[in-house]
Amino acid sequence: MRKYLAVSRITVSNILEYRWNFLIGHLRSIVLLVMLYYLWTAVFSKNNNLFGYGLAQMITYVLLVTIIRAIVLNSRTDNISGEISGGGKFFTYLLQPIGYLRYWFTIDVVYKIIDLAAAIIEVTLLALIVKATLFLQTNPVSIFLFLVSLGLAILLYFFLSALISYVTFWTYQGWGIRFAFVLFLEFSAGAFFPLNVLPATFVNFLKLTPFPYLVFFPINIYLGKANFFDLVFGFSMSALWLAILFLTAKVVWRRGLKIYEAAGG
Amino acid sequence: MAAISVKNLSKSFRLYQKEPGLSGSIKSLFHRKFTETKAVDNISFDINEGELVGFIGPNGAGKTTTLKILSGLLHPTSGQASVLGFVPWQRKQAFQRQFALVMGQKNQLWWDLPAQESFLLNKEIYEISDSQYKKTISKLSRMLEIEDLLKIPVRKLSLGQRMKAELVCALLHSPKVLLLDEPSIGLDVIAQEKMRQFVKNYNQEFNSTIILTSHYMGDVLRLCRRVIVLNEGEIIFDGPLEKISAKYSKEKLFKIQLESQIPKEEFEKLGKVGQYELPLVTITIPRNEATEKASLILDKFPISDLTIEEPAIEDIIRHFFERKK
Repeated sequence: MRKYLAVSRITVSNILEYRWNFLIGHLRSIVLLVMLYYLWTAVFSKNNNLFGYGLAQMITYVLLVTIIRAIVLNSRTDNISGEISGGGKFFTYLLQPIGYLRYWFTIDVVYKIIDLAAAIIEVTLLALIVKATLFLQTNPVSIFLFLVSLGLAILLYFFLSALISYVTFWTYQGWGIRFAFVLFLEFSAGAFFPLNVLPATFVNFLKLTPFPYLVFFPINIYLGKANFFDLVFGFSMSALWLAILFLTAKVVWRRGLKIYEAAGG
Repeated sequence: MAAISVKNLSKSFRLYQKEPGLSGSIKSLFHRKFTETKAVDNISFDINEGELVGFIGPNGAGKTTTLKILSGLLHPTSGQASVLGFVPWQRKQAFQRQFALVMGQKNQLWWDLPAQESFLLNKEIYEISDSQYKKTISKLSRMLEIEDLLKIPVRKLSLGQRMKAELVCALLHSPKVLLLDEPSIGLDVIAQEKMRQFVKNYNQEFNSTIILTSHYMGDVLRLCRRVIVLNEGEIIFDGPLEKISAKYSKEKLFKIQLESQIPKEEFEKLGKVGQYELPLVTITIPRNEATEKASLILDKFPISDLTIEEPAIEDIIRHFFERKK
């Protein structure tokens, strides 16, 4: 455990070295939020209800996506790809008595905490500036289930992202596949808009993939839009996919290392 | 028991060949021609505890590949290896706690942070106690003279300074086996010399088993009593440094100081004339004729001095690799 505390300490020091880079990166997302706010307000000016969401629910959806981007769709495991093709620190951590994925998860936790704090500030600022009406969930059961679904989503995304990086063992270059994947993932996770916008058959198909459980599912729980069946089905699928991804990651890692050529140097 | 033991170890890589230019690139989209190359080809050796062994050989001889297998980075294609009784590529933590690999071209220090931060990270990763950590770090930083550099971001250090810090970082857990891959690459002559001195002292003081690879023959000549010479993945020599000359040099080098002028042609009858800068003449003469020619020279020419030397080991090895090609 102390090993991983030390990893988190050095990660924080490293982020602080880059503090300006970090701050400017976050300014960008405020601009995006303002844009989305006015877009949806305009859409709702003629309707009170769209795709089963009221204006307050839709704005809450958009703001929650910002929060979820910070804690779920946020992983440094994309660096694994570069490490595999370029050597570098990869060698070091393969040679040291430390778990490689645990090492990355620790780094992720640090970034998630810091980015979450930043996202909360952004969302609060925006809500204050535009005086948005938000949907506040008061039912403790819904809030609890929302948090559990977030926990599952974090792990799902972590293993998905690691697996994408592992492809580099075979392709030597990981960026193309990651780019295509991330775009598809965010779309089918509901990070751009709620999935209800899409045709029902397509959404039903997506619900068999792990993606909706990253964003769409947790937010719907928070908004109180998931009925008993949705909850049972959603949590079962999340758990099933987590098991599949965890085991696949294990096998692929072992196979990858076997053919790994430790290029460079 | 040997600290490192390698038996019939081979590693081949699959390489794909691309014809030059854009047309070649397009062709390779559809059809790729693969060839197998043997980076390491059926090598065997044993290294005892406390030995300091040099790996020499030209680029691509398989030195680094061997080290990568011994450290557990690579799975071999066939054969066995054991380091401290462990199979390296199983990457057991108990094994990882006892060895270190330092590559001159790779860094494990965090680039934007002072070296000390990376040291503290390694302290926890290797579970080193506070007292042990303090002792080791003060000793190592004294040996390498880097006390003042520990608080400066690594990116601001010079290559030589960084390499020293890398070494400290890798040695914090007092590894029993140390694999050094080109530790002096890119360093200036003074820094190289200091690095050699350090490796030598470290080996003696901690009785650690060390394998060193280097392009710089100087490193190996200064440090290692035993060398393993690799070429195209095979071991072509394994033994004490001095024996290389006996095995591979068929010639001796005569250095003659003349008292008066003798034309060059006279010497060319005896052997291959190297230098002819009067009063100094050097000739290489086949080993088996050396005694006979020596007495001939002493009889025939007015000389003030004659020495007979083994050719420099660097030259032997260079000739050897050139001949092989």
